[in-house]
Amino acid sequence: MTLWRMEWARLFRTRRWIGLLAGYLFFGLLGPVITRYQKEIFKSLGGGIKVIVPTPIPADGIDSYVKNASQIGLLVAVVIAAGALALDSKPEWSAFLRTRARGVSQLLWPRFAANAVAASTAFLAGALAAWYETSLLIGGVPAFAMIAGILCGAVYLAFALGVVALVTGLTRSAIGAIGLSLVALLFLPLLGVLPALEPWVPSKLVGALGELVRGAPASDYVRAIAVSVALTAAALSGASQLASRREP
Amino acid sequence: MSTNVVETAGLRKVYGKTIALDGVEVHVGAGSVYGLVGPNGAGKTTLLGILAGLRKPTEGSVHIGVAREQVAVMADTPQFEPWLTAHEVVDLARRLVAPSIPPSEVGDALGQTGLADVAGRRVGGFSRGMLQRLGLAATIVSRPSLLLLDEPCGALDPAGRKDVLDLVTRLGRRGTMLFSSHILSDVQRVCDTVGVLRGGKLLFQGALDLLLTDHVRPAFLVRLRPPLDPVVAALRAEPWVREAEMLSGGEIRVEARSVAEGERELAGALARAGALVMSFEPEAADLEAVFLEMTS
Repeated sequence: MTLWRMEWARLFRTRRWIGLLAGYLFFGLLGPVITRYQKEIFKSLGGGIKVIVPTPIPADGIDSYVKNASQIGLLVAVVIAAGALALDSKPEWSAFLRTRARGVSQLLWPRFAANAVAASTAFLAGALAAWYETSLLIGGVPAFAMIAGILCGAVYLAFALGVVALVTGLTRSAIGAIGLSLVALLFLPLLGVLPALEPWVPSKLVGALGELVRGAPASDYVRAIAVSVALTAAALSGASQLASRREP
Repeated sequence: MSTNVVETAGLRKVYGKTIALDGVEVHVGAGSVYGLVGPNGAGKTTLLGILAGLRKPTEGSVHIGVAREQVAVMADTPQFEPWLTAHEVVDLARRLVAPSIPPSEVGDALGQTGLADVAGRRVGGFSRGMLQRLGLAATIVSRPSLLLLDEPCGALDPAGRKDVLDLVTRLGRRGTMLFSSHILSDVQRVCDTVGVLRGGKLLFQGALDLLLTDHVRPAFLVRLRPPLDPVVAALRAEPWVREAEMLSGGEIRVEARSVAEGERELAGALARAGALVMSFEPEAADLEAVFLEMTS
């Protein structure tokens, strides 16, 4: 048994992967269907109110997935990751590992990486489902835009889990880490209100998949990707230092 | 050059306004089995945590005379991820500390701690005693030369305690061990050196025999044939006798003013009283009595 295998065991034996995958797949399958049939859905509700719905285009189907996945999917990913990244939430187990590992980084990295890969895979699965259904029900979606958008989404998820890791360096409890991480992830996008910062903030990547499918150039997201990668590395380094200083 | 494997100097640990350790100087000699005893809150777990590198001292220094990977630590209430099997927990410890040790050692460690039959079971369903055995298996698998055990028998039933103490005795022959316990008979059984901690201060440190000898009471146990009452009365009249009391089973406990006086006078006093003596011996000091005397 290695620390890496242990993280995969945590995801699979505790069935956390099901929650993660189900969340993203559900919206990936449902989003394009609702977008395609929203006119019929509104009509069936009746009530005598006339609702004018524009004819959906492929980008709307993908957008529908992105909007839901970026909220519920991210919430599930944060909750699951916090459970693994909160090293000291079980002090006796933490003491077992800390007295045997070479350092906190050795414990932190597999937890972060396994959860980031799992969350990105779930996001990818949902995006592929949305891509397939959108192509089937609404129309073709450009492959490059989809691939670039999925990459942006994966980078943002890694950044979000980096924030969770950093927060677990500040608080021992997993629940505390979930709360603080969500507050941080909700408030960080406010920086994007400033026009000078908007191209740089990681939250620009949240809607990248939809925007790229609508025709936005991929170069618009390069700066946000670079900042996200740098901040993720800094967050992990900070998390490692904070956890090293703390007594379990 | 010092032969101590563990040496602390002026160790002090403060949590807010609470002084957990106050100027503790522990010396654990190579190859010794050191028993750390003390009432709840004495600072035993804090001291072990500092020696294990889990806690940082507020003041003072710690010297560990072996490589860090040669130190193995067991918490007083070991906890593991419930979805791991016992084999996986011990194997994880092996991989982290001593990957060069063959995986077959995992089975050996589980066997030595009586967990061979449940090696493939997830630890979520383990009792506290089984978790303690598992903690011990994960501790010994890396063949450490310094073992730090915090209450290794705390959650075990009498049979389990015997097994673990036998194991601890065997391990003690291979390396150095420091273990804390509130079960003083366990310490007396397996330790050659003892440290008595109270309120964060080390009240005594040294050979167990020395501690017991220093605190031996000048008392003797005399076994007689009846009648006992006249003998007790005669002994109470002796000027060197501080106390004489009748115990169950035809025994009398005689406490003298000093060991020397007792040894010199007792035989004659019994003869003068016409006592039918079957046996007599000095009352042995036990760690529990000494501990209570020191910490009360």
